[in-house]
Amino acid sequence: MSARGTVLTLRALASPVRVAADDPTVAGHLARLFRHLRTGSDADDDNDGAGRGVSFVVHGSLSDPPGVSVWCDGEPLTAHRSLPALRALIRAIDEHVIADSPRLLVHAGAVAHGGRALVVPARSGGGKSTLVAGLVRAGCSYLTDEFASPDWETGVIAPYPRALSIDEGSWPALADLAPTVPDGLAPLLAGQWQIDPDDIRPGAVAEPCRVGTVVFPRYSPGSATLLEPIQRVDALRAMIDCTFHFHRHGGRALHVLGDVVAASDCFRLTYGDLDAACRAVAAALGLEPAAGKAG
Amino acid sequence: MAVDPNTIAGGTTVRRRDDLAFVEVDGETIVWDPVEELLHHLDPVATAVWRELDGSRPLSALAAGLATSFEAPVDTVAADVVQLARKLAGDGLVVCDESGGPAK
Repeated sequence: MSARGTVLTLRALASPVRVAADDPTVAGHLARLFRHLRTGSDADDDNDGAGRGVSFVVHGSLSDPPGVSVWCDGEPLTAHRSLPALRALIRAIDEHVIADSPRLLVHAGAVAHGGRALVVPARSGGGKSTLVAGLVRAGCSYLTDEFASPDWETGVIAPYPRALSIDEGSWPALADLAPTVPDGLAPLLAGQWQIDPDDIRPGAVAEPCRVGTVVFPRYSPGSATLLEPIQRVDALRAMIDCTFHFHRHGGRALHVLGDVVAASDCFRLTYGDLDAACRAVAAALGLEPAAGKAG
Repeated sequence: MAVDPNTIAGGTTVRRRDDLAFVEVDGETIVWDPVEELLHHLDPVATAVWRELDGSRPLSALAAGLATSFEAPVDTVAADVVQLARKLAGDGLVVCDESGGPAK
């Protein structure tokens, strides 16, 4: 089924992704969420060692029953049926990147400061998106809240700056960043905020950069904030645990991650309060406090 | 060829398996075995021995060199080296040639 509306051509960590939507409100909002991944053209032959690519279509209209449905490469998207439609789409795009990207992917958030990346490896639900949002709010630039991808040759982290996905449990800590969602779209995104990094601060998306710091977060409600150095070899093991398809990449990935930790200060962060955690990390980085939420 | 750990002694020459990937970080080593798809972590002492396992000399000669470097008793170092080599062999990380001499 082809879309009748706008088509977005995205480059998601060297994996081509096309997203189309019949409904202009849906299309406009998706364009906003993925604006920093859009490429300049629909050229499919611009591969640069890219993955196979995938095409998603959001069919239907917000105003007409039965509403919208998501299709992937011409078939109904059956994964993540428990999620609202647009959250299922976002999750499916991430999973396509995991399956298709030729790049090394660490399950991690990342921000940048002073030309160096701070990588936050953690499994799903580990608090990386929340911590990344807090750090961007505190003045860091935004690289990703999902995949930290070091280049195979240089170790430079490539941005994956789609909108930050913030689960409901973190909303109180980030209340000032609550997104504005067009009428009719709220049910399609229920349970998770998608925050445009430019809404945290205009121009917040970072350029690719090398890693200087690795922080492993551990959120525990009510805990005091503790940022403690850890042995680099322990950091390497923990990063390997967070690396997608490490067994497939093996030695090649081991060397890249080894170089990353060898060049980085590595910490474990235990925290119960986001602002206190961000202050601790900012102090460690020598970061000046930001002026506050823009716009 | 794979080595039976129980046959390893001071006169045995072993070397790191060619297909392993390993990185050393701050004096410790992570080894990736692509066949078993397992990671191994070597502490600083094991790393010091691992560095020397290039198959060029028997364990006794290797131990003598390490004893000098660490200013430790040769007999103690030799026993520790043999014990470590046996463990590495049990993990499948080292090999030797059929004669037990310098590994190919």
